[in-house]
Amino acid sequence: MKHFLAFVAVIFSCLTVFYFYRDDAQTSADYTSLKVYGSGSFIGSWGPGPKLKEIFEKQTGIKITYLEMSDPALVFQKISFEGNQAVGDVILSLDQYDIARSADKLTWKTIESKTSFNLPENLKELEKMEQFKAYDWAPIAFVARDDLKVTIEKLDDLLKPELKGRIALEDPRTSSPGLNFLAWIYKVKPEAEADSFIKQLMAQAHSFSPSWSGAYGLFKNKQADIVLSYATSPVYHLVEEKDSHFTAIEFKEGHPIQVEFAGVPDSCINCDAGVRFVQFLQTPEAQKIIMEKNYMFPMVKSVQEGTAFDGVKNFKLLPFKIDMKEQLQKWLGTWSELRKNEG
Amino acid sequence: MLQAYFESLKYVGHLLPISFLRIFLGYFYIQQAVKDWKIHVIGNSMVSDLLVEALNKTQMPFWYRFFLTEHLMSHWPFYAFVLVGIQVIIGFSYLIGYVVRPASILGLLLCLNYLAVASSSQEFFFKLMIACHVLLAWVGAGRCLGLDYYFYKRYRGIWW
Repeated sequence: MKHFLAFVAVIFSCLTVFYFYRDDAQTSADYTSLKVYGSGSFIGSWGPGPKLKEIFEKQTGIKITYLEMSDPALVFQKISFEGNQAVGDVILSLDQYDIARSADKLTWKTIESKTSFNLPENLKELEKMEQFKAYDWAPIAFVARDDLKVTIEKLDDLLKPELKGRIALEDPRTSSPGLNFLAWIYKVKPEAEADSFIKQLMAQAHSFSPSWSGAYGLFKNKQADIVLSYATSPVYHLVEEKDSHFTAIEFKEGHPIQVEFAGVPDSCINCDAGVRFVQFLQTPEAQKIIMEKNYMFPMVKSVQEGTAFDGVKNFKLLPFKIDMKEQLQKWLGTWSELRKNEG
Repeated sequence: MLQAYFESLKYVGHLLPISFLRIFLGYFYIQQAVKDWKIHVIGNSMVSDLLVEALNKTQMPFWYRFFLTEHLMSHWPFYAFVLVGIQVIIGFSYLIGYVVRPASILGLLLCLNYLAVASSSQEFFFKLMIACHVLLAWVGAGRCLGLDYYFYKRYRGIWW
């Protein structure tokens, strides 16, 4: 035991010496670099992150370090715990539900847009947002192969007997498109009717996957005929797989949209560079990269001209607005209750 | 000591596969300690993601939640230093096979602590690590390809 205690003492003594003689350059605030939180799909080698980093670093000389986040709510909580010591100048990959549910855990910088957009009327609300800047968007839609025999034109058509067990959906508690779909139902139907519709849909769906990729995998493996995805998903198949047999189905009710935002928390260290980076994301050059990697519509309409995105049908859209946190919780509560009874 | 190190192969050679597991775990802990040192000790005291996630768990004893929020979070730089220290102790101990039994107990306690804060997806990993620590402590894994063999020959006792 004496040996062990001596061993512990030696290790801690060495660490203490290392701690006090560490390179101070590492600990002082670094104003030449930018710490950016983003989802794996954005900052991974297949996402737009690496290319954007390269261009931004070349233009400004500011070094970007990406930090991967799995759940924005946890990152907000983490930054709030860390206070002035927090690391993270920019947070990417936020959607409207992250903003509605968790963004109030932090205070955010106001960012002025330097790029003018030409957005559809129902998305004008995005231009008015001062703290979060949108960098891509897409309508939520069901995607099918073009040999689908069933005609689907409205939400109620999802209950057709031919589609029983053939619809891949996402769980709204864990997936943002899933939550968007739930909100969609409540926005276009009266509450009682919506509850009844959801109940029937639970018996109708193949499954409620925890994530978009899980649901899309079922569809790709032909375990489902249609999947809740984005209106831009067929473009991916067209460009990456040269396969034009996928189609997004338009619904008469109009489609909700999914938007991705970036924000700069007040606890930022290199705030000016953070704001510059967010503004950079909205420039045509960055928008093109984001569009091509994320397969979402750019905020700058002109960017998509002459690309495969030009071929995507203009769906009727529901007006964009950030839903109230309490409203979302109520919808999710009802969904969970119905799901519990279903199981 | 060096002679005893290799001599152990002759007398407790049957423990050799477990020694490889011990050395691998030692390497793993050192690697983890270096990473945590950079992020948590000298990297502006970033609070561990694991702890932030833990606070969102509904099933956690009140006293443990109190400890996390009132002590650990508010004195995170100190606790981060201690945690890295423990990882280094376990790492070096396993690598060179010195005081492996007490180090395994330390590793076991560390993993039990992580198990309390880990999400369900990480639980399996920490349970597996606990099994490894118990195994290493049980067989006295430092006696093969380790310094413990040298000290065991001289001092005997349960700590080698």
